[in-house]
Amino acid sequence: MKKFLRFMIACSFLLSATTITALAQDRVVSGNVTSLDDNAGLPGVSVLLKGTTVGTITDIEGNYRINVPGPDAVLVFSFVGFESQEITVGSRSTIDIEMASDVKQLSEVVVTAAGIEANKRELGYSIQNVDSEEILKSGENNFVSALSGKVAGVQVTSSGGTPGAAAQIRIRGNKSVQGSNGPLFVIDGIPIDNSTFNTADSPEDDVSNLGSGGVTNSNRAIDINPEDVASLTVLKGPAATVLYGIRAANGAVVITTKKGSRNAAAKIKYSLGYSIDRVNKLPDLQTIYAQGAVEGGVPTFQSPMTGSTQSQSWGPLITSLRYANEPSIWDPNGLIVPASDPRATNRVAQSYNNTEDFFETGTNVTHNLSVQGGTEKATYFFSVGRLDQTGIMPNSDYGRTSFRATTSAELFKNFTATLSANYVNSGGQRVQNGSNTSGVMLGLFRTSPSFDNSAGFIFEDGSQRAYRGGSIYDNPYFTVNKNFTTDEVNRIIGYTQLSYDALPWLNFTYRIGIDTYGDDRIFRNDVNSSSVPVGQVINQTITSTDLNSDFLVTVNKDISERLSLSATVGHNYFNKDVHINRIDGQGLASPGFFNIASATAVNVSEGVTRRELYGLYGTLTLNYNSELFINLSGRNDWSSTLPEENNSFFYPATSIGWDFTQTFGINSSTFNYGKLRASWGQVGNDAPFAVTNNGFVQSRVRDGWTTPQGVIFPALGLNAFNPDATLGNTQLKAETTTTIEFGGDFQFFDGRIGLDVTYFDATTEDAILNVTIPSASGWQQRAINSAELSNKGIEAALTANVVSSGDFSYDVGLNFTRIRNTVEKLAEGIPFITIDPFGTQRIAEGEPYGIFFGSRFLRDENGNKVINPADGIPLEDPTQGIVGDPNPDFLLGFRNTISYKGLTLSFLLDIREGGDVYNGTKGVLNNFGVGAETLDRNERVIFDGVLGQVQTDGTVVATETPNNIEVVKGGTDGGTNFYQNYGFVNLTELTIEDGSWIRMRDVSLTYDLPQSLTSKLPFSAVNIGLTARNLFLITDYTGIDPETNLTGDSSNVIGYDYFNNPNTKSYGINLNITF
Amino acid sequence: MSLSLVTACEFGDTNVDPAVPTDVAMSALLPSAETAVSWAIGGEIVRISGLLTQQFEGINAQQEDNYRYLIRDADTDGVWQRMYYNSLNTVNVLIEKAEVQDAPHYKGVAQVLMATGIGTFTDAFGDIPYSNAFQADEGNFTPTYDTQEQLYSTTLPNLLDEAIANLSAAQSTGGSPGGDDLIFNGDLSAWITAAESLKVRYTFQAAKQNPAAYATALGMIPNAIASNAGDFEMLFGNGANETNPQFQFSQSRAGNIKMGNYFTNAFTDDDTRKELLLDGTLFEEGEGDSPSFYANSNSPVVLMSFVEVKFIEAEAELMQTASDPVAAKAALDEAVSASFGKITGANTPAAYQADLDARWAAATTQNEWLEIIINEKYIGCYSQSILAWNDYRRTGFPNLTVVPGGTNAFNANGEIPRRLPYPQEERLLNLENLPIKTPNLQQRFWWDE
Repeated sequence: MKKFLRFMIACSFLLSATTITALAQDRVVSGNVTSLDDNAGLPGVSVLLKGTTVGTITDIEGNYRINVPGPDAVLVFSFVGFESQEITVGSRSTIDIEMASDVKQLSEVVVTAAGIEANKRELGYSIQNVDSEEILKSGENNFVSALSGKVAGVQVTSSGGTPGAAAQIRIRGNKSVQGSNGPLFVIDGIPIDNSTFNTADSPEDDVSNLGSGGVTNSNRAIDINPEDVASLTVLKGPAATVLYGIRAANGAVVITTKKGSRNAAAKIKYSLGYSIDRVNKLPDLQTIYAQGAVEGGVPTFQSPMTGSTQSQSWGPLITSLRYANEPSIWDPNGLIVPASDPRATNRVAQSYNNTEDFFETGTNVTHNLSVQGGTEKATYFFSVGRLDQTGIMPNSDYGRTSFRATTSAELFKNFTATLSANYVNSGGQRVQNGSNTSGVMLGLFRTSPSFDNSAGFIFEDGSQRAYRGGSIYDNPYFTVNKNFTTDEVNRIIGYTQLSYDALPWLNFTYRIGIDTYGDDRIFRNDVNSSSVPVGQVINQTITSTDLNSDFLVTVNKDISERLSLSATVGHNYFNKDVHINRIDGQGLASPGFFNIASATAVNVSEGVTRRELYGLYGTLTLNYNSELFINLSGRNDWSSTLPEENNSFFYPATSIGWDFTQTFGINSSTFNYGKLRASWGQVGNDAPFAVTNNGFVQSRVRDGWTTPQGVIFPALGLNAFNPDATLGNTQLKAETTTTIEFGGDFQFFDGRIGLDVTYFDATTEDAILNVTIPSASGWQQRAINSAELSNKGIEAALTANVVSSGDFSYDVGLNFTRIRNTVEKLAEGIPFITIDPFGTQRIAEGEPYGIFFGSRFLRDENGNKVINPADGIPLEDPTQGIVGDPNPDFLLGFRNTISYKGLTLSFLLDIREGGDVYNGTKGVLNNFGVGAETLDRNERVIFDGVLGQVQTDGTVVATETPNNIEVVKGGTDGGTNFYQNYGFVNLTELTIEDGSWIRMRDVSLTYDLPQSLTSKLPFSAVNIGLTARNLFLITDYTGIDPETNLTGDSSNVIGYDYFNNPNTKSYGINLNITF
Repeated sequence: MSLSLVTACEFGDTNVDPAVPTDVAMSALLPSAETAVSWAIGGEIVRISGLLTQQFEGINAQQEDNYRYLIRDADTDGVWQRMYYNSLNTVNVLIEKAEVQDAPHYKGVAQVLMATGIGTFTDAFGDIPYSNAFQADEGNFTPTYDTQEQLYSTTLPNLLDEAIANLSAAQSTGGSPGGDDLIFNGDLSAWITAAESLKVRYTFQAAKQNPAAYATALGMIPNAIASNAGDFEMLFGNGANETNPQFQFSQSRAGNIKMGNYFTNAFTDDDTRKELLLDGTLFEEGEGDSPSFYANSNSPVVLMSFVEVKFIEAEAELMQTASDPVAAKAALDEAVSASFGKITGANTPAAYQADLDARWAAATTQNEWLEIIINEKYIGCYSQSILAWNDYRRTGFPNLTVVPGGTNAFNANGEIPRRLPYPQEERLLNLENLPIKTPNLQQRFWWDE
């Protein structure tokens, strides 16, 4: 179908350009024309006998047949967007041609919604292609991470450097408050699932998916083998996505996989990749002060050796401590005592850099083998890929095996059937992070530098060796060895497509696809782990099935010589069914026995999420003289998640594109192409599952300090239920996003410079949100239609061939994104909605999406801090407020490619300006006295500000007197400690940091062995490359790499760092061989 | 489904979560209601009361902050949600269901639970939502506040009288609690006694405002709990998924709290309860400790005890207009003996009794006797709801020294807090009705004025 469309477009192009006459001649030459980019057959290519008007065009599969006068005949192959080739026939009767795309022309073929291919020249809306090479160059195992910095309007955030970690992708910002803001992923016309499921502490947290502890899980697009991708198109606004309907309300990533081509001999390709990963950035920690606290004005050493469970490092200088001639189970060097202690030797106590010592070098090995080709009537593509990754943390790994087979055959005349199946087995061993006393980073970063984590994590009696003694915070080595989680996904994505060209201008296509997987997880906490000392094993099975069916009728017809029409009407059915079954077993019979048979208390839960959707859609494009393109589209959806009376909703879109250079005959070499575009479109969105009705949930009675335990019913011999926290709403209706978009595509200097600029303004109305309601009303949330969010932005993509001289060329590409996001309105009486697990990140009226909200300094009306007259420390404002904004000012990807002969150097500089990150890690580490900032603990300071005065009613008012109280900043003289004054997680204002960065996202140096060399080898092409990822990172952020997110892609949380696992940099080598 | 459908589409039960039934029996709600009320009181309320009265010392993280009187509005979001949503809304749904199904016995039980929760919560926060609460299903999302005075003088007594009437109903057509009642196993007379005891507590609690209440409370004591066996308490279980909230805290949050020095020093050498109530590192270490009486896996959460009734009697006898120190001492002896009985299973040790007698004899003023009573109650009612903090605010005993470093923007004078701040969710979502817009832990409420 796609090819048919391309064929028809080419036909109309050719008809207006050339008169084609087919004359009987002496000989017949036939062959197949493929695109060098994706090896797919290229339809509609003009094959002309040079010097004549005799010619033909290739068919849908790229095949042609032409009569030629003799061996001297020259065939000219030309096609818009590709470099023309001239071939002398000679004695050959079969001539297969590979055509290379012409970078100087801006006539990319793009895949638009519903799998319809179009010439980018004819579109009235913004769309951007990503080359498959660009994806491979990134060196990312997660396909989504590979898109970072490569598409204007797209922001990608990885959740951390652990193997298999999720990446969050947003196209044109966040539009939904509580629904998904992720785009639709489509492979060969079949939407696939990109969910991230957290194994939360409890089933109800699974549902809200806000689990702040646990492990970093994968987003399921990670299952796509990047080597199978032939091309990728990002659809941004509703004018582009309307045919995909509500599931593409946040844009779509449309992937075409590699296919064989007809009449092509089998081509075998093998590629090998090897890379190593290192941790790229860690928080600065102090390594000179010992574990302990200030007691009576004296920093005092306290540790398990002194019988203390002291968590903090406000002790004396480690160099002031000595080993005694007395052994200690806590330190192989002996008991640590003050120098004044009679047992002290002259051996000075050692300090440890626990953090750096903990991380290892991770490795990635990828193998990929593919075979492709075709016969006269059929094509095939087979591939097998294997990834083996070990993480930078001990005992973490991830693996993926992928098999893909795609075959297509013309079963009878004009009727083609395509079958494709992709089987993926993926998963690995993951370590815990986040707010979780068994989190690796929590135990690791908090450890005092006077304690060596690596000197053993478990004693003979099974109890833990950790810096606070037993199992209070897990020793990170205990966690990676004893508390690991494993997951194994078995997934099949398959589809069948039947396409029938009933008439030259009429096509029927039916496509049915299924994406189904089972994800089996085992979550373990061993006996003596701190979060569940009795031990725990959770078996969780997630079964997800997406069924998608599309029936399309397409018409392509020339109405007159100058006016042509293409139209599609279609029907879509979608059914999603997710079952999450989990068995929670607590109280293990024996350490390390992680089977549900080991548990003394077992609770079972069964969760279901379902969604059914019907859609009817249509699109009509008019092409006037290849200079003016008008499109009208619309779709009606019926969704199961809305109340019956509101479950049908329609949304239209229209766009116009005008090639004014053609209209005005402009074709100078300085300015050779210009198109203006405008579009307006809407897209609806439905509600989350089951928010229309009230119900009762099985009771789990607990509080924030006893999760994941509590009383989990059935318990005490009874079962029990309580009203669900969410009050149902039977009045819900679909939410709508309306986008207006203007833009243009321009080319200068014979296409050596290309510019694609788009301005968009998207407003979401009636956004469905689960608003928090006061608990005293009896319930905690209800879903309503009310919010209005706007996203305005500029996207620009610039390409330039800076130097092109002989064998040398230098190309640059820039992708710029600037998005301004505002929550225009929330619900009546609802000034904010919390979207993060700790209440720090919110959606607030009149503010950008996801502002940080929290504690801050008390200030007078002039903005001076008010100082506590009792201790000279700045006071905290008793009311909290906005303290940061996680949205970046702009994103810029800057690709540089330098080629000389077979050698190519390419690197992507990735710049993010602005965007705050909540460094909750720092807040706690400073409180604990391990953050490097606390090195100034002994400094005498006078805090800037004015003195406060305590009133008789206990409140404080600011005076005009400047503060004059000198204090020791860390309270080491017994005074108030500034770093501990604002509590455990510290003042939020002090923990918000600028997350701007400049990073070398990827660098690759590749070398194509010259033909002269490969011809002597049994290979037709050999390419070797060196790659590096995150080679450098420049940022003011003091924590780990600011590209991080605690909850990955499972929620709308952004810029959240609370003991997250750190990120990595990699160095690798690649080898690609084509036989 | 076909293409011919252009208007609404029927999806059957596709949008119904099969794990979330639209209705459940009262017998499925009652265990949840009882457990949740007991958990909220026996967990966070006992902890905050213990931290502020130095029975506990917070040594890490949020517990250390709270111990140092740094209690932000956001810190009380959790307990507020646990009480209103997890506990009392279930209780309220049960009350409404019992009305519809004509089951006065269920209704009476639920009303006693409601009075327990509301009465405890007003002692922490002052004015709180009640008569306008639990109405989100009727479209009221911003409940107004009932004043503490109104709650104490009319709402709670009326609610308890109604509960007693319902529990006394000859017939309960819609059913009566039985094995689903985790507290009294369907014993309605025990519930009536519990209700009568709560009436005593609430009458007595208002005495700082109304000294006549001492005598009134004394008059009600004959109907109240008359032995340790009648204690209004919930027992937890030994299964890993059914253990006591303090036990679970000591397991999951080891190293956050330890026993307070003031409290451990309050025990005399003759006190046989000491080793059963604490062992120096009760909450400090997670593993291998001998769990204490109130922090064992199957320990009870006490909602109202015979011990408390007797301490109330002692204090009321002493403080009533016609002060009767002799009767007060007799009640005090009974209270102490009941406490030893409950904890150790034996009577008050003779040496302990002798010491108490001597101290009592040495005292001469009402205030000195009061201090003795409250100091005994500080141990005798340890881990029982919010009592220790209530007693401190009512009487100023025990004679605690403030924790150093307790001055902060919420507690500017550094004294022991008089209240908890209203939760942040109320400030942000129900500001109009919120009685105190800026948190101030020293602002006293009605019975503490």
